[in-house]
Amino acid sequence: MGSIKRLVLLSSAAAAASSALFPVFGQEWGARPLHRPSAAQLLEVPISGNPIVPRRGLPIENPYANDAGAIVQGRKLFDSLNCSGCHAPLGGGGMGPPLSDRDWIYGGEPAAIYLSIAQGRPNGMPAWSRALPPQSIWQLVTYIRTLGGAPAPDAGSTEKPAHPGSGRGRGSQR
Amino acid sequence: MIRSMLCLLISAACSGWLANAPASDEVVRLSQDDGQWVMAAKNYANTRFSGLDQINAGNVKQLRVAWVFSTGVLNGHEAAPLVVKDTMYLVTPWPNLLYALDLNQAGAIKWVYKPNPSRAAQGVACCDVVNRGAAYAEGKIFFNTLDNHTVAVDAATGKEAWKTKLGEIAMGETMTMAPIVVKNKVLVGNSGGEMGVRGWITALDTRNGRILWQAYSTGPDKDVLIGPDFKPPYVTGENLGATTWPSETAWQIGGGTVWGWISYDPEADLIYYGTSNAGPWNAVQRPGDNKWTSSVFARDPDTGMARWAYQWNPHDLYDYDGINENVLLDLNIGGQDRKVLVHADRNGYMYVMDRLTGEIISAEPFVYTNTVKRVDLKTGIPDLATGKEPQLGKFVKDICPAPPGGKDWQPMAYSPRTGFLYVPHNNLCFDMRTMEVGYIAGTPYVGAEVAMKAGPGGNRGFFTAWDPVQNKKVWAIDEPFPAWSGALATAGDVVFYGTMDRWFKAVDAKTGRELWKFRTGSGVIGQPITYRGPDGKQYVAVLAGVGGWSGAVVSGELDPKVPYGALGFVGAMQDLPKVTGEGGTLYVFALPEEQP
Repeated sequence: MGSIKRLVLLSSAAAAASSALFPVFGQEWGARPLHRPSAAQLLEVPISGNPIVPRRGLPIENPYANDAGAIVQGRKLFDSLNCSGCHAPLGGGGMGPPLSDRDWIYGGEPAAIYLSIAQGRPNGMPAWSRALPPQSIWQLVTYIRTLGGAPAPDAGSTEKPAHPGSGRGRGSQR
Repeated sequence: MIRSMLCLLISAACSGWLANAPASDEVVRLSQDDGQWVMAAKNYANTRFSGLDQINAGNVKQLRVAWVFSTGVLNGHEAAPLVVKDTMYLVTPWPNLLYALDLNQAGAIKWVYKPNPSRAAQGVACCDVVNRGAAYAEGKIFFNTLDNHTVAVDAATGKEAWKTKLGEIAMGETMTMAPIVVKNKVLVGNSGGEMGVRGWITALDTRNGRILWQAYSTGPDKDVLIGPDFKPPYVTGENLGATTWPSETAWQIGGGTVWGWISYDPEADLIYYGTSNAGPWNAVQRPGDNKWTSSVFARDPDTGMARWAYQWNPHDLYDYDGINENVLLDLNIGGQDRKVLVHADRNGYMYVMDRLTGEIISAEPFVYTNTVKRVDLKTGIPDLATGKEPQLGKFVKDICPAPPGGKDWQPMAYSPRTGFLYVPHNNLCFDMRTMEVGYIAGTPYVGAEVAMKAGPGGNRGFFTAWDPVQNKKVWAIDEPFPAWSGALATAGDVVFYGTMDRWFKAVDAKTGRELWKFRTGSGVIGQPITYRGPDGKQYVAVLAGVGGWSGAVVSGELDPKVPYGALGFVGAMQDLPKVTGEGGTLYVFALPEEQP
């Protein structure tokens, strides 16, 4: 990952999206399967929590689920792509929302996290689909899933006022 | 005991500039009228002092809420309200709504202007999506939007007069500062020192929003607007904004943004403002002094040309932005009348400087510091302590002050009656580990892991009265959280400030004794103001609504368990969510009708 750290991109984010600027990924993972989800699979990933016809099982599985090597690679990417600049080391959050708690604006299942990274999100999350090959996004997903922010269980909880009076769901602004 | 006088630079007696300066003329007149509050800092000297004395140390304990107003916005409210004649103007954090409230009708909404800033701008704002206020001149309200537009709105109708785009969120730029208006020019600057942004200040024509000049903080002299008139007191050389960097690329992404306060001396005809930290925070990637980041500039407002500059923190190691306000005072120091600029820097030192030349008269620590041992008055160079230098890949512990400094943006006030500055500030230390970081446009360019904590004593903030003549502390109030609001001083010898744990306080200007406090809905990080209402009564107004960098753990709903959140500020604020939630509310206070 050394070369990505030394990349200095003075171009705009759009130009940074060219995968030609991230040759390292192609070299490192070119011989492996891409794990690019099909368009049909991506369309099946629910962002809404209210599907009219619920589906059974996940539309897309993380090909690296519980893969120790992918966690290590994902963590390196999390730092070198400056994810840690916004979401903070260990995912505590800052310019971007935390990834270490149980609150997921756009879904915390692996496929939903994949889509958030690939497509970007309206409140400032960049879209990485044209900057990163699918394997790298899956590695990031694999690492992010280790940060402790599994999707919230159904049961409510009472904390000694952690966010008193804040009844809104996250996402109304950030 | 008046040992010093408020600079008379807000006096129309200043000559030689009135003829061609109708906007300044009007602004000077309005800023002298204590019935109104036409710029965030009250006046060009940035004293935040009002001559109103109806509310005084004797009766302030009777202060009551006159009316309140919800802004409908949840993020950190750092702005000062403006009052022009019988109307109050409020600018909110993103989405940067501008409200006009009728003071004849207890704050009834006259109109609201919505600039519709980009939603994505929120994601490149380093430290919550704040806005620090607006400015009034020539019948218009001027303010900045988070997505890099300066806007002029008709103060009477709320109609947009013009809107000028000045920066790119795709490059990590935002705008959060409060403009000032000098001689038909709106002066504004950018934010984004954590995003590899190159800092600038820009002058726009008040009439049409056309860009009149733009001065960068880094790069060759032609970009920095440095010419033959530039006489910095401690350094010589050409193109220092480029030659003190390792490469051309480095200064193009090297910070020096202009997100703080601008003051103006009409007599000297110079503006003063500071520049942000150098980027990235990992200083190993930018050997050299990194001029002119973490510096102060004096410039000619007509041309933008620099007259002098001084770098508070050469080769900044700790995110010590130099953007804190420069309060312009005329003081008698050592038997001599001096025109000075007073600045409480993030590095923990209070600087008293000759504002005509930039020479330091004195520099004394106002908070515990183990990073700067002293400031050499002959060379202007801060003498750095050893042992606290950041190290690649290794945590260096207990560095003081932390990145938000002994004091951050939160502006101090000055009372000519006591001769004291009233300084809301921080008492924070931190652990820091640096690492190499790559520049990717529109993403953070930091290269550091930071965890902050309380400084010595355990209180994370102070409200300090400071004598700028002796350059020493008079008294200080411990605050459990960083004192992140502005200060307000009045001729009633009452000083106001707010706290993050939901108090708005009035203290005795002479002694610091607490005279009154009010429990607000959310923590206070706004700038209090005072004005005379249409009914002739004195009012005090402040925005509550916690957030900002210090309050991001609440306003961003961050994980309090992870100390590295919000660039490490969460480490020092893990208990803040237990004492306050979010919510922007304006509070307006007055004495009751019938006084016993």
